[in-house]
Amino acid sequence: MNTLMEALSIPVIANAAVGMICAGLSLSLVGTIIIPLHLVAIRFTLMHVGLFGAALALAFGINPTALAYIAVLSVSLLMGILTKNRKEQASSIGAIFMTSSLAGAFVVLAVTNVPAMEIFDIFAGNILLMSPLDVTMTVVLGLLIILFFITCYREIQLILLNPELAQVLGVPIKPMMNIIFIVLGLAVATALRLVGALLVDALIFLPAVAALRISRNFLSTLILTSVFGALTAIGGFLMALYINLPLGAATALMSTVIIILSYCGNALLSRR
Amino acid sequence: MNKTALLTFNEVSFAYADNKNVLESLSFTIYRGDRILMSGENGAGKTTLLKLLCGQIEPTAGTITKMSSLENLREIAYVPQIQQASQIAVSVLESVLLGLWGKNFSFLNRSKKKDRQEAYRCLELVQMESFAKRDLRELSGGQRQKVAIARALIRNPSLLLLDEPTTYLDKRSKSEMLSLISSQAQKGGWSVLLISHDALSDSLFNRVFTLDNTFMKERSL
Ligand SMILES: Nc1ncnc2c1ncn2[C@@H]1O[C@H](COP(=O)(O)OP(=O)(O)OP(=O)(O)O)[C@@H](O)[C@H]1O
Ligand SMILES: [Mg+2]
Repeated sequence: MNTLMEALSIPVIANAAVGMICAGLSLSLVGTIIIPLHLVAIRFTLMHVGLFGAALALAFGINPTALAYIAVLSVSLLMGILTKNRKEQASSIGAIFMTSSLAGAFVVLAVTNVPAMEIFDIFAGNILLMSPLDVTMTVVLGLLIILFFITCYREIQLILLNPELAQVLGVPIKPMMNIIFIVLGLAVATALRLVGALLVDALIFLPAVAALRISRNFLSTLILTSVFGALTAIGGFLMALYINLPLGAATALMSTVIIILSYCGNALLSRR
Repeated sequence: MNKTALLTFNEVSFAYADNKNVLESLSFTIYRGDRILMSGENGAGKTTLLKLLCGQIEPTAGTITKMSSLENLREIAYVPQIQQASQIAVSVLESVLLGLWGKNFSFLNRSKKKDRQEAYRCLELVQMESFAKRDLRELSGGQRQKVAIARALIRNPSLLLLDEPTTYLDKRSKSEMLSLISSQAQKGGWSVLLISHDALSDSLFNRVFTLDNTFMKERSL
């Protein structure tokens, strides 16, 4: 424990710890929306769009994180507008954006002299590189996501349960879906920055999968998701610190453990 | 009897995208307190008609005149033809409670304890109260249909729309649900439009419609 306190007294590590826990608690909630709405594939689209944004930024000597965020946000807004409430279209539109932004990234790399590895470095995720500004942004985003779930609890529940029913009852579906896409975009961009492209799922997807397995109502789904997300983040962080694993890998390992436990837990629950 | 028109279809046509008209120049009036049974062949446009009524789609030609109280969706309840399997964990009680959205609660205006009690009472009406705490995902097709009916009843609507609400129900449940709907409607002064292919007892309804894309035939009772 001593070593933990010592480690946390180093500002960079304390920053990282705050960022990770906050991300675990809040970003994971997004998973409870994207799974039932079949928007899971969209996160791949957004990652590649982020990649394209970063490639452009490097070519023009701008801040890559900023441009990646801007690119991801604009595309998620656009996706929200294009798909309206016909969610079945989202994956095909997503595929188009994904392919074109990947193509765009390669074109930028080819015509400029930006070394490809530099872009991929950004997306390997390095939490120790988080500046105080990054941490603040993560915390603010986390609070916004939680606020969204608190203010729109029933509305989100209705849209996930049955969008058609939600519409007939008068839930403003279109604005809600736009907000959902923006939140998704922000969450993906932030997770990219924290744990890297390959491991976004560890924070955004797996905690919700585990919670959806064992929950029997919506509130417990949200709470469990958040708890699993936080456990994933804290566990990953401690493993990275003590066993000296890369943070992304440690986080992914942790979320896998939680998934396995949830499957066992579900088997036990249903055997009662 | 002095009849108040709840809503009127004036020469309403509808086509999905660029296809040909599914409904053509339909005109009819629903009065307050009407209990209408509507049938018609597959593809006759029955579901489409309900979607027009609850504002999910707009007519491509003609107009629907609604009584001012109906303009707002608060006064309409709709039981869709297909009860999609839930993708999320929702307790049966909560899924009924959600039928009050826009009426007793929305956004920051939270549901109250009495709303939950009302949801429980509606579950009792459809004899599903023992499932109140269960996950909606674990219900059978017929049970889901009963819960959907409870979700509509809780709204205490001026206009209740039901799209084949008894398809998955057994014989006994079928007649129980139909008399429940009819008696609740009479008690609350609601108008009901119910779609069914079955030859149902006329005593529960006061009008019988047959829809055939281009015209609505009314059989006098
Ligand atoms: N979303 C849609 N897009 C295009 N055409 C549609 C759509 N929904 C329904 N249709 C067409 O409109 C016609 C009427 O459909 P509708 O669902 O209203 O029929 P219905 O009377 O409810 O039939 P059923 O008894 O089978 O439920 C059908 O020919 C159908 O193919
Ligand atoms: Mg139909």
